[in-house]
Amino acid sequence: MFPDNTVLINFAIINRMDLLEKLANGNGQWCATVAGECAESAEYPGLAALGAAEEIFGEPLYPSPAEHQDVQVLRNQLASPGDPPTKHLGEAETVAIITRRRLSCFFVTDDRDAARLATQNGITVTTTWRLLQLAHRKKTIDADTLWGYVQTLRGNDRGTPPGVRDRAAFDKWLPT
Amino acid sequence: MATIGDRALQRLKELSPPSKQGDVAESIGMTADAFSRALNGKRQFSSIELARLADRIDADLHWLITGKLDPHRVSIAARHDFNHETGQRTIPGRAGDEQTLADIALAYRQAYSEPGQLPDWPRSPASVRAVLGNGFVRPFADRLEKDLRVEVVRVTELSTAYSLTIGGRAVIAVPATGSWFRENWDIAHELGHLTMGHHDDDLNPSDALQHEAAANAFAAELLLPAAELKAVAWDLIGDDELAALVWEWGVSVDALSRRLCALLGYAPNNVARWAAHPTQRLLRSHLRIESELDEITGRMDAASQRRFPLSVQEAHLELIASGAVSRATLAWMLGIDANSLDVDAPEVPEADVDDLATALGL
Repeated sequence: MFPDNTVLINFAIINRMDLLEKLANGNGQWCATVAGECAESAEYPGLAALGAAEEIFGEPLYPSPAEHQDVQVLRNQLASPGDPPTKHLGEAETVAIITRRRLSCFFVTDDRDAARLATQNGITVTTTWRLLQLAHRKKTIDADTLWGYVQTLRGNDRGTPPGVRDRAAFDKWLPT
Repeated sequence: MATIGDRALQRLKELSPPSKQGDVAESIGMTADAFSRALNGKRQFSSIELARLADRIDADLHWLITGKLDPHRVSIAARHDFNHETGQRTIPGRAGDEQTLADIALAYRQAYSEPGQLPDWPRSPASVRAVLGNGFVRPFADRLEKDLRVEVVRVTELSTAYSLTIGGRAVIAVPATGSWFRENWDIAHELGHLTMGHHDDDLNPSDALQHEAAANAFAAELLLPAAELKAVAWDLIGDDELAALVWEWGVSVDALSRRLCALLGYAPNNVARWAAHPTQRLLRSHLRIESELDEITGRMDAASQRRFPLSVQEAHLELIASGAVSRATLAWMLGIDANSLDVDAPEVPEADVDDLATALGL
């Protein structure tokens, strides 16, 4: 399971890096740029929990020169007008490494464009919300607690599960 | 074989003023030890470290990675403001235009993954006129694209005109101001830069100024050929005839006046008189054209419209449909919100919870 930094930040905001560790179940890996972004994000107020990510995902994978070239191509595909040159590098590096090394894994990202590009490159993608659904399915968290997380993340401008605007919609979404 | 670290070390040695390795490391978010090991090939760089390093040591990222010139590299020439009083040429808005130029380059790099080859353009204004054909000024951008493979972009965000070569494709980018005579001069000027091969990187300021003067001379001869101008009885010209000529040539009276000064040594009386007024005033009062439409406003409207070549937009539509790029760049080209852009794009299937559980051994 490879995360991007948006997913790591979500788990840090709800202060449940322990839950992410349980879900990764020893299958966590990350690329060097995501690890670097995560370390920088941990400096921001309220995100110190990100310090636990190193334990979960271990030694980061660094791109080879050929993968660096792939990263440039992929980053170009992800970019939008106005983006600074360093934006999307974490997602591009992740996709480049998974693709070139033919790793059998999931890419966890809440970035729609990164998910689209990963899918186009044959990588299975999932999201923060799907991981939280999985945690509920495995009875690691109950529905009320998860609803609390949804509200916390929404309050931090991190979005909501698809179509979830209230508790009724949440209860409908949960078993899907 | 040289490595990324070797090339980075080479650039570090060339830096002027010199920078200490430790300072460079700190500025790109690396420890001195990690930076030293990466330079010596004992550790790889991450993508973000490499991008920051390329920026810090002013190296092309593609060259840093491969040791070769980037086939998609962008070279830019800019239209300078010329102060007729002081003779100074400057680009006051260049810094503010950088992001827009980068965005235009992104639109092209996304549209064309394979680099192109610049055409072998005719060099002289007369031969360019011959290729573009009679009355080329009115559909200037369309003729350039069709006959010379020079694409024209018009956006409000730019402060001045630029010509770019982007991975072997030629693009003229002009500000959308509504001033069609200024736009024609901009396009002709930038076309001069392109045909004369002025897109060398690392130009010294003296050469850059010489290029500006040459591009301006090219624009003058392209839009206002000396032979045509000398055939006019300027001292006898009336207001209606002057308006008709300015309309046909697609230039301002001020530009015509300066050109006549250069060619004849003086500005004829009626031209000098009207040069002190907005060109629109002469046209509104004296242009006699048979049309039910307001042609003068039509030209102004066309010169204020956002414009990207249809070929670039079509390339983006195909890429969006295949999932290779997002809608954001096409929406930006069209000047609309990406969420309101109704185009075909593939669904992104998400992993099933049970499959996820199995894969993670839960």
